[in-house]
Amino acid sequence: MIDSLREQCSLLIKSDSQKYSKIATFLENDNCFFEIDMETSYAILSDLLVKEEDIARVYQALIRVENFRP
Amino acid sequence: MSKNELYEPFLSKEKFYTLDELANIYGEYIRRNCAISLVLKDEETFTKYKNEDLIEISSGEGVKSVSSKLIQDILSDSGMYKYLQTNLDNRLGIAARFDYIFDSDTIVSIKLTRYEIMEAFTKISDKLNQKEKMRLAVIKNSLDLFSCEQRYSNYTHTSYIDDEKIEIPASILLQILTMDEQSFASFINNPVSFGYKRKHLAYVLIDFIEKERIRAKYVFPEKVYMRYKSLANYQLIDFEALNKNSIRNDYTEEGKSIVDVLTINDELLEYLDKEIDKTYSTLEKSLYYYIKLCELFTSDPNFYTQDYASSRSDVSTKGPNDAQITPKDFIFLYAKLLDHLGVVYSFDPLFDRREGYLSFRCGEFLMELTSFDAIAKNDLANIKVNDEIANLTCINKNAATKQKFSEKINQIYASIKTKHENAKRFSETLAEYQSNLSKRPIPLKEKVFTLLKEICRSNLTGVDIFAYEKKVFSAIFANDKRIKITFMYIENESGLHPVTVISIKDTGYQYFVVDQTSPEIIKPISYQSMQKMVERNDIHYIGDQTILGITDIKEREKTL
Repeated sequence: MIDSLREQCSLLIKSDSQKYSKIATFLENDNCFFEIDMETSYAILSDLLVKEEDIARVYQALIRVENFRP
Repeated sequence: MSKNELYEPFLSKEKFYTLDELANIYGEYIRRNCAISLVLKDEETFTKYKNEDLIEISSGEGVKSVSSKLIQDILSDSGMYKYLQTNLDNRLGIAARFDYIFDSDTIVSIKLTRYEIMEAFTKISDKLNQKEKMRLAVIKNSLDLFSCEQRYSNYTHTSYIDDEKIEIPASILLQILTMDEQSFASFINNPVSFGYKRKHLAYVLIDFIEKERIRAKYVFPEKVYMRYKSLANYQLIDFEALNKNSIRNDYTEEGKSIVDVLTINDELLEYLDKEIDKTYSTLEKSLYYYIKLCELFTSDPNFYTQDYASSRSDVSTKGPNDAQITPKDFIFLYAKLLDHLGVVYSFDPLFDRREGYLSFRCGEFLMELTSFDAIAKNDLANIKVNDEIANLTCINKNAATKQKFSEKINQIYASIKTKHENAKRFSETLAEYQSNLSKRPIPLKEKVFTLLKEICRSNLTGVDIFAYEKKVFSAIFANDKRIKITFMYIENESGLHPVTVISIKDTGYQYFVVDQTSPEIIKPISYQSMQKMVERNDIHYIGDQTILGITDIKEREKTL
């Protein structure tokens, strides 16, 4: 899941390098959605053009135990 | 026939006492003490043997002077020669001892080991006549490697290595010293030879040579001696750590281990394990813990005014919220962590003085942690400013092991530094991103639903669930005071099992109990049931004990 967000980010970086290079920095960290509060995570997903109605489901998938690297 | 009867008939009666004569004149005590010596009757001869025509020979302890007159007499005098032959295989390795008795009960001696006597014979070999040369050849023959192999052909040497009894025939041990270069290289490179571990073979070989005083008893060719030396100084096989740190030396006058009774703060353990690489070996963990402790703690300024011996205090509170520590307590705390990792350690007997240290071992590595007393050599300061680590060192004599240790600790140190840099970059970027953000609030209900859904579907059991729950909780409810998560163990018939309580203060109070062992996993419970639950005395909290509407109210009542 996080890999497809990284891919999406690399596609969007040309459109707004300032914003998306920041998001790219977050996405370098496999655990980034465990380190960032839920509201900011939702905003990141929205910036990555995840559809509004899918954001909650995508977020839920990102914070699954399988995606947690202790 | 006793040994003295073999040579006494050949001794000069004017020059030496027999053992019976000694007993008659000086008593049984002197006889017993001189049982393996030749006792001179005349002080003048003894002085000559001590001081006349001195030559220098190398001995186990360095250079030694012996009288060439004495050495030549041993070969020319039949009685002295017979005595030497009889005494050559004595277990103490003293091939010849010449005594003189002063004032009836004071014995002065000239002692020569087999090795020393052979050195001395070689030095005077030019001066020897044919008969003496022949006698020397006989002696040499009985001191050589072959003779050693014969003497120990049926002997098995026993050593105890880390409480394991290891028995190896001496014939195998001597074979290691004499085998050709190719076989020796194969022995050095293979973890197992002759059915024994390489390190055990090396350990038992050196133990055999030392305990049986082989070097004092026999004269080995230079090549064999060099091979022994290269094994004994751990350069070829590093077995130095075997049998080390077997005694902890941390017992109080009542016989209790200081480290055993120490407890480590949960927050400190959490801090240490927070970012640790789970694939780290025990050695790597112990080095990682050390660096993290040095990053966290600062020296207690009162330490320098305290009496060192009595300056130990309670370390159970020490952690992120109580980070001032005396160097001595730091070392005890570190020893406790080593114990926790299953690492054996021992305190220097002088530990209660400032120069004492803690030593420990992991695999082949032997390490030493010295006190942070000297300002110039203080890792509590060094590590905070990315300086070189000075107090924790590898004390192996083997250069390759030292190098490996140095690479290992630098690698861990560098990875911690990289993590810090990444974390700093992450939080700075996050702050920048959030500064331009208008956050859309998410309803509490949606957040609770997200949390409970994830907890419910995770297959984690036991204590592993806590780390995950904590992480998800802090992401979803960062700084939200309307909800709390509380971790605890509850005792039941099968022992302790982990339970999480989620308390929510919205329009009223709501409680959820997460218990992976129950069929429904998450169970909503009423305020009254929650109250009943916290009143049980079989609850052991982990970290924060706050349960909204229950324990926080109790605390408030207490303060009122």
